[in-house]
Amino acid sequence: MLVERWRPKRSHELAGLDSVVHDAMRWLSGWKRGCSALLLYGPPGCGKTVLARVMATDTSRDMISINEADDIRAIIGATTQTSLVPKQRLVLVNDVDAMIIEDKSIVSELISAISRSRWPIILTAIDPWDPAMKPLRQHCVMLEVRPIATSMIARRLKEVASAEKIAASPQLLQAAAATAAGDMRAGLNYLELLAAGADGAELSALDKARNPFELLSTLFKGTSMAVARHALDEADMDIDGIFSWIDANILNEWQEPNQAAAAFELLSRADFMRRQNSDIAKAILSEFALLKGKGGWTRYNIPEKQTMLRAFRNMTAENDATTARLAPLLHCSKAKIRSEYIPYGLHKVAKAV
Amino acid sequence: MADEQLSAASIWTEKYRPLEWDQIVGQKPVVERLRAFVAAGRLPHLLFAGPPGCGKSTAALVLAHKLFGQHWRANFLETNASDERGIATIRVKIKDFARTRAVAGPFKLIFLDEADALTAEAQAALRRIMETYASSCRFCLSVNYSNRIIPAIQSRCATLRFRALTTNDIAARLTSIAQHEGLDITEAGLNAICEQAEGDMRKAINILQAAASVSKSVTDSAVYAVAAAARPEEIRNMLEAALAGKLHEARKLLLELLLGRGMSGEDIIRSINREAWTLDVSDKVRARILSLTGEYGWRVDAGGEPSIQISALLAQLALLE
Repeated sequence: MLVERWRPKRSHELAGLDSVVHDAMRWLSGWKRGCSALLLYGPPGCGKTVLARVMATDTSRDMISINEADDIRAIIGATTQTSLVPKQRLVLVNDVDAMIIEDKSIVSELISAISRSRWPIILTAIDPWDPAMKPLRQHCVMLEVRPIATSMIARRLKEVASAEKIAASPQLLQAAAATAAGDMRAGLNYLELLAAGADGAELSALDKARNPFELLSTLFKGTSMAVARHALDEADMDIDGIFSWIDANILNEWQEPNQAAAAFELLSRADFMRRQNSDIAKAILSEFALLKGKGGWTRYNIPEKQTMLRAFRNMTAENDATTARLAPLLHCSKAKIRSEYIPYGLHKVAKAV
Repeated sequence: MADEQLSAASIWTEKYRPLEWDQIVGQKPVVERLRAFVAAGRLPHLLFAGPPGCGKSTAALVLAHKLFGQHWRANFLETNASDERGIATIRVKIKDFARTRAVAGPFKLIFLDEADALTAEAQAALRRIMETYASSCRFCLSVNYSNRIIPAIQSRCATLRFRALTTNDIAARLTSIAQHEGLDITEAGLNAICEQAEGDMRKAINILQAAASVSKSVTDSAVYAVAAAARPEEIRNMLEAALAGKLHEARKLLLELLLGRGMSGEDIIRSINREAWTLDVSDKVRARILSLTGEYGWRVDAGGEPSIQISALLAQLALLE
């Protein structure tokens, strides 16, 4: 893989990241046991993980890389144990924001790991501003890694293309860099496609497949079931993603009650099939073509669930923490705490006497 | 907040949770079987089936106490299938727990609550876990309906059927708690709680405690006030918005219930069912609402995505009247 082969090994290869590298290295050289962790944040493919790896290489440290929430406990062991090997280490916890969405208890485990660790810990995150991460941020030096400039990606792609003897016109490389939108990994993957014979049309089709707005408009305003089916098959989105986008936008397309009810009924039937057989679910979804969406352009919105979940997370954070701690004490599930205790205000009774 | 101590001792469902077989009400046959197992020192895998709040978890806890005495904590693992992130985390928990030998006994006991939350695939994995650890552990699964458990697991378990508690069972328990807590509860207040609780002891005791926190004298109107306050008003607002054809607004309230309040699809369907009786609509419309709620509730039950299925229900309601 080009992404693997052309991953920068040393800090001087990190074009455009000079000031970030400088700040990160200063943190590392000043690190002592008990110091804050380093939190690198920025969009995918901007170089967070690469930067951490390079820091390890430049300072001759071993890198311990953690990707799974379940391994957090393991690092607490790894970072507090005295190792027999005298070699220095650097611990990297990837995509910590995604882990926390799944399991909030990781926050306190990480904080305890940070304060006890023998080795410096680097965390990466795409969005570090989630309220659930607030306590963790207090134990971190925050460092933003910005999207990589298109010109920088284009230069890198040219460099790699000529070294790898990939025949691609400058225009095509430029297009690939632009489509990558600040994501070096995506840029190199596009180059890999170009090397495999892809052309400009294919790159733009890829871009389109990633675009849920295109999918919705083809599906809702489609001319035939076959066209709708094709769009569903080509969409670069898993079946759950497709459902949540449709769910969020039916009312934008169909305001008339009979049409809205028909559209939701269709989605309901398809939803019912999706766990059993996603092919049949897609076939049912193709029927949206028969409902004939409104003429002209429709403003679609991203699934409310994603945005609302964020807004509510703040609101419910306190209750969530209480819920998680009460569930084992009351021998029942968190859902039961929410439906059977909190409505009666009984969670307040549980505060210590 | 994070450093604050929580204690469940002041929550009455915990404070008055039975510790002895005799204190478990309304489940005589089940208790007899369990007592016999303990007396014989032998225990098969168990499947507890029964409605919410009828004593399944309590029976498992008493069982652990009786089997292991003072060592019950070391030998008893309680885990809730609806809280775990899939069978993989459950497997890790069980593995960690089963790795050490039972303290002062031949086996350990693993209580897997709300096991019907597991998918068929997860249950297949659970079956293998049960096989792996059968020599050192006994499993006790609790479900609302045993048909949600795959035959391969059912055949490995002794099924014990718990029944919904009768009004008498619940009233007797409430009376004794009221006495302990120095409450003054009227006959009508008692009946009102039993009516709201629908055979669920947990709910009955929670309503009693919530009412008692307002006033030491518990009357029927106090009970109804507490029960009404506990019901999210978004449910009613959502139904009224849908019936008035305001689907955007209805859907917003639905997402608030699902995401903001963390209600499950089943919870919302149940609440709609209850709320439908108090809506200001003709009986003809009410009948349609209830039958539609049944239809989409079934789809939610069968694994449909709650926001989609309940949106579809709301869109149907917008067509009524």
